[in-house]
Amino acid sequence: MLDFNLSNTFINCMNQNFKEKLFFSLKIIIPLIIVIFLFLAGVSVGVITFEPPEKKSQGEISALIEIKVDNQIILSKELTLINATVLDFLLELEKLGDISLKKTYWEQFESYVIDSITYKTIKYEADANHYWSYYINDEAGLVGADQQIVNDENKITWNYEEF
Amino acid sequence: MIDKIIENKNKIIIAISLIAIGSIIRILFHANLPAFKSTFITINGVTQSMFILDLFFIVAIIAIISGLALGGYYTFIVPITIMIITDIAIGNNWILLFTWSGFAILGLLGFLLKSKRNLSYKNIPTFLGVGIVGILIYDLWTNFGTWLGGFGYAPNFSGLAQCYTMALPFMLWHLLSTTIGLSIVLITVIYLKEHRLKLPEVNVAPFENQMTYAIPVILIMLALLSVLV
Repeated sequence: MLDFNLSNTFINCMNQNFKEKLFFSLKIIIPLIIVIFLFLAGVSVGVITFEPPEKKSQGEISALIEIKVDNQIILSKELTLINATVLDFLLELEKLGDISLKKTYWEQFESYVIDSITYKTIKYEADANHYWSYYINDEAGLVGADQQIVNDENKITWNYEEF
Repeated sequence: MIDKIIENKNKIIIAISLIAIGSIIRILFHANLPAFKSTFITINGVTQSMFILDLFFIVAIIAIISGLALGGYYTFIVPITIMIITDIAIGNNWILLFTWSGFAILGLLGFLLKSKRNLSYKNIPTFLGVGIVGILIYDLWTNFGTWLGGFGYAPNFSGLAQCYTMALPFMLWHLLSTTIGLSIVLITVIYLKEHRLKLPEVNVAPFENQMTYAIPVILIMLALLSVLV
C-alpha cells in the first residue's frame, strides 16, 4: 500500500514537472510560430519582398522647382530632365550655378540628407533648429530625395523648416 | 552620506558600468550602421527596407535591466544619463524629451517586473513579453511626438498614419534587436546569479518608490509641453 502511494506521488510530481516544462516551451514556441506565420503571410501577399523597388523610367519630364525660406520663395525655376529624382532636380540647380549644395549620405537610411543650400552667398544650414524638407505638389515627401521619382508637371518645393 | 555610498557601492558600480557601456557603444557606432538591403516592406503604398538599424536596443536593454536589477532611482538615472552623455556627444533635437521619457518608461516596466517576479529562467517569457510591450509603447509615444511636433507630417489622422508608416522599419528593428539582446542578457544574468553572482538587494524606500513612478510622468508632461507651448 505504501509503495503504491509513493509511486502515485512520484507520478504526480513527474506530471507536474512535465506540465511546467510544457507551458514554458509553449510560451516561447507559440510567439515564434506567430511571427514566422506573419512573415510568410506577408511574403505571400506581396507586403514583404526581397527586391528593392524599381525606378520606373519616366522619359523626359518637366517640373517646377522652388526653394522656400521663411515661407518666401527665394528661387523658382522650370527644369526638364530625364528619369530624374527630386535630388536630381536640386543637383541640376547647382550645375546651373543657382545654388551650392552640401549633402550627406546616410548608409542606414540609404538616402541623402541635405546639410545646407547656399543661395546668393547666404548659407541655409541644417542645424539643431532647422532642417531641409521637400514637398511634391505641396505634399511632404515620404522617402529620401534621391529615391523620389518626379513626374511630369510636378511642383517640387524645398522648404527650410524650423523644429 | 558616505555610509549610504558604501552601503550601495555594488549598485553604484553596476550603474556606472551600465552607463559607460551604453554611452561608449552609442557614441562609437551611431554613424557606422549598415543598411538592411535584403528585405522590403510595402505598407500604405510606401516601400521601404524592412529594418532600419539603430542603437535603440542598447539603451532599451540597459533601461530594463536597471529597473529589474537595481530599481529605485537607478531605474531612470541610468538610461537618462546615457542619453544625456551621448546626446551631448552626437547631438539631438527637440524630440529628446520624448525619447528620454520613453526610456524612463522602459526602466519603470523593468522595475515593476522586479517587484512582481523573481529573476529566474521560468520568468524569461514574461520579461520578454513585457519588454515587447515596452518597445511598442516607446515607438508609439516617440512617433506621436514626431507627428505632434509637425515634423513634415500633416496635422491630421492621415499625417499620423504616414508618420507611423515611415516609422515601421525602425519599430520592427527595435522589436527584433531588443528581443534577441534582452534574451541573451537575461539568460546570462540569471546563469551568473544561480552560479556565482550576488545581485544587490532591491530595497526601495517609500519616497524613492514614489519618485520612480513620478519621474516618467513628469518627463511625459514636459515632452508634451515642449511641443504644445
